[in-house]
Amino acid sequence: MMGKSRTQALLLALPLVAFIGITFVAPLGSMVLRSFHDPLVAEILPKTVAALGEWDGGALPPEGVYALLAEELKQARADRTIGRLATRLNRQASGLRSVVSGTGRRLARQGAPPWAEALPRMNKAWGDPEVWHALAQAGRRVTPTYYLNALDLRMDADRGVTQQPEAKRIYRALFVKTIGVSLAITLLCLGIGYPLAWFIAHSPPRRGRLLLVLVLLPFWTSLLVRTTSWIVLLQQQGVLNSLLTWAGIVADDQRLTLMHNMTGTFVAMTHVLLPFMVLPLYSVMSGIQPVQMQAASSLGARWPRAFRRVYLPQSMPGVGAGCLLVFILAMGYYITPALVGGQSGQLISNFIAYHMQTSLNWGLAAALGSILFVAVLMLFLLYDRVLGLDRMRLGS
Amino acid sequence: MLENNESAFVEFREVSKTYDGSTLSVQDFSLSVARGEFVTLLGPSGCGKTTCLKMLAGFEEPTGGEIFLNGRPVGRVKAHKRNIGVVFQHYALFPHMTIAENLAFPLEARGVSKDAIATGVKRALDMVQLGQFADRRPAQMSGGQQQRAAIARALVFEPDLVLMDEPLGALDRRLREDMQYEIRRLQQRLEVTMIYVTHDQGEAMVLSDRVAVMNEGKIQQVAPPEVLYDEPTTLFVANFIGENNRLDGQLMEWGDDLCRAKVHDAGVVQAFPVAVREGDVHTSLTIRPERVELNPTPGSVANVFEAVVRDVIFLGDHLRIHAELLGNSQFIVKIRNIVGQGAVLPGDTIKLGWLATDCRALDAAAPAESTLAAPN
Ligand SMILES: Nc1ncnc2c1ncn2[C@@H]1O[C@H](COP(=O)(O)OP(=O)(O)O)[C@@H](O)[C@H]1O
Ligand SMILES: [Mg+2]
Repeated sequence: MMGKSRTQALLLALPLVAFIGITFVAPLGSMVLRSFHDPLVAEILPKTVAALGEWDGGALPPEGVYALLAEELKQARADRTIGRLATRLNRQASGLRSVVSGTGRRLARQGAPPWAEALPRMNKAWGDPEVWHALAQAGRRVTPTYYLNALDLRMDADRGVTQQPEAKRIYRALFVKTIGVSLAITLLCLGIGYPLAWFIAHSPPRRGRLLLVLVLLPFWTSLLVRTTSWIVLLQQQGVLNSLLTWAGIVADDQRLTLMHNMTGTFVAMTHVLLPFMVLPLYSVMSGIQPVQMQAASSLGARWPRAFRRVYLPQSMPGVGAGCLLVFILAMGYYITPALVGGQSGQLISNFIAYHMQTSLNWGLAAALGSILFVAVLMLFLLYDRVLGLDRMRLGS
Repeated sequence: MLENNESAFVEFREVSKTYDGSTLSVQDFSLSVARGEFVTLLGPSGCGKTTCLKMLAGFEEPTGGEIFLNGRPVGRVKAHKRNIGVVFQHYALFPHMTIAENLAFPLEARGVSKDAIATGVKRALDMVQLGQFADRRPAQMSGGQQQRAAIARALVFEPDLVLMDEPLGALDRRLREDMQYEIRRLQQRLEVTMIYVTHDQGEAMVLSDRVAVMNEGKIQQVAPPEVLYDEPTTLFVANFIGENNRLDGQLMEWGDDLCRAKVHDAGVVQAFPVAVREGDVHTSLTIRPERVELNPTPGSVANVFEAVVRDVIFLGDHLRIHAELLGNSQFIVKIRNIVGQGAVLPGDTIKLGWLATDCRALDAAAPAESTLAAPN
């Protein structure tokens, strides 16, 4: 009996497992896979890559490797895969795009062995051991390149892992900035949301419901509409600046730059994420009986002490839930910064989106995404350690 | 100041309160409580008892009138300055603190030293036999233990005045009776003044020096328990406290210590005029079931009427007869179970009689019976 009902239960849960697998585990898994698994070069230049594997890494590879490369580049050109190969190799070492496509073009017309002399004549890069190292690196199916890039590092032939040149370091600073901005937005949301949730939770029922609807109202409006309305308000010729100018607080030629910078990102994201702070706070606070504060005052505590010792600790589960929610959402938000953040207001997600959609460097996008994911996961675990996830309440 | 009642420790003077601006939750409420006295506010739920306590504790402001504490008006005194111990209806212990922390809270707020807090908390916990529960949280204790913890917390800072709002409402009957005894013992030992709220008349009777019966925001009668029972001055009190028979009648004659009223167009009942004045037309006459005599000796009582027995219930030490008398089909008689008392059977016609002084002529019942809703 027992065994049968268990099998039944498992079977019943199967659709759920499948659903989670298809919608959650599979995409996440394929993203993580993409961040370190890149078979493109190994598939287009299989023999060259294999031969380079035997290469001792000395001065230059032997004639055999040159010959294989020449053969496979010709083939790649015929298969029209050489463009993808060039793009991919260019990420490994910039400049390789033109080297590869140029060599491919010439190989189609001319060239004869010995290739070890012919190829460097076509493009002198083939006489540079650095380039062959880059090719060997790119040929690996499992590659740390994307993670290194995502952390502003690169692989050198002789020095191993080194820093990117100063001008190309962006991501580490961006991660730090994203975390900082998310923290600041979380604190802003908490600062605004806590009193607001308090007010709603301890209003008479009718007013409380009305206020709650007002807080929820943004959820029924498209995110784009909300963000765009901030553009209307904040731009240089916008409502706020016009009001300030009209009131004489700001001179007409000194209108404030409130958007397309960090300010815009702060204002709009705080607004967009505020409901995620207010809702868990509200649901926890509405479970705190007003009589608790009355009891505290009847026992001789002034309001500040009563608040600190009685109310605040009981509202902490809501504070934790709200902060965690807002922080995680802020870390991954990209539409709002993209629209109102300008150059300086971009966060890590905007770069992930850029590599997904524009530069088509999916491997790097996946590496950045995985790092973000792990960072959030670690913060989540830290939260669990410090405050305890079981104490977090989204509803009472 | 001079006009204050010298002995009053707490005084409500014509206090009224409305929450919504139209209905009065408390109306013309005047009550004096002497130092060390145990006074209970008794009334059906919704009659304004909690509101009175809240105004005294400082959680709500009276809409009209004034409250005096120790001769001084408390209108301007904030709740945390009033030094009143309050036991709330649902305990209101702080769920995130242990019992010891709950008890330490009022002492910390008063800036008491750490050592003094430890001894004070221990003494208060021992007082309610919760010594070994100091480190538990409220959720880990039974209702009765939480109740005792709440009482200890209200007493630990040695207030002169303690308010309790239906503190035993959530406990089962056995526990409730034990706790009643304990509360009374504590109050007498500590000599604190107590204002206690309940809707349970039995509890009020057991505990109180005096009981203030309330209905619909108004005080009906303030008196010691036995006076409330024997000499109710309003129909509400007569019905709320204990069991009573009611006969509605028209006043025929009115005197200082005797009046006569015609009931059900049939009989003339002689009664003691309590709350009727010359000129009143309608009155409600009340007779306690145990004051009614079966087959009275002729001439011994002023009121004798025939009744038809509907039902007889045997309850060991007494019999309970439901009869129809002067139009009241639920007239109840309690008769002591004495050998030789003739058997009474349903359908019998019997004679019932009572003294004029046991029959109290009170204010007429309102046409709608709602004010007589049974106490809950
Ligand atoms: N905070 C409040 N807001 C509005 N009406 C209230 C409030 N508290 C009590 N009332 C009303 O006042 C009346 C008396 O309530 P309460 O004092 O709690 O009665 P009791 O304690 O005797 O049951 C009730 O009609 C109740 O509905
Ligand atoms: Mg109440």
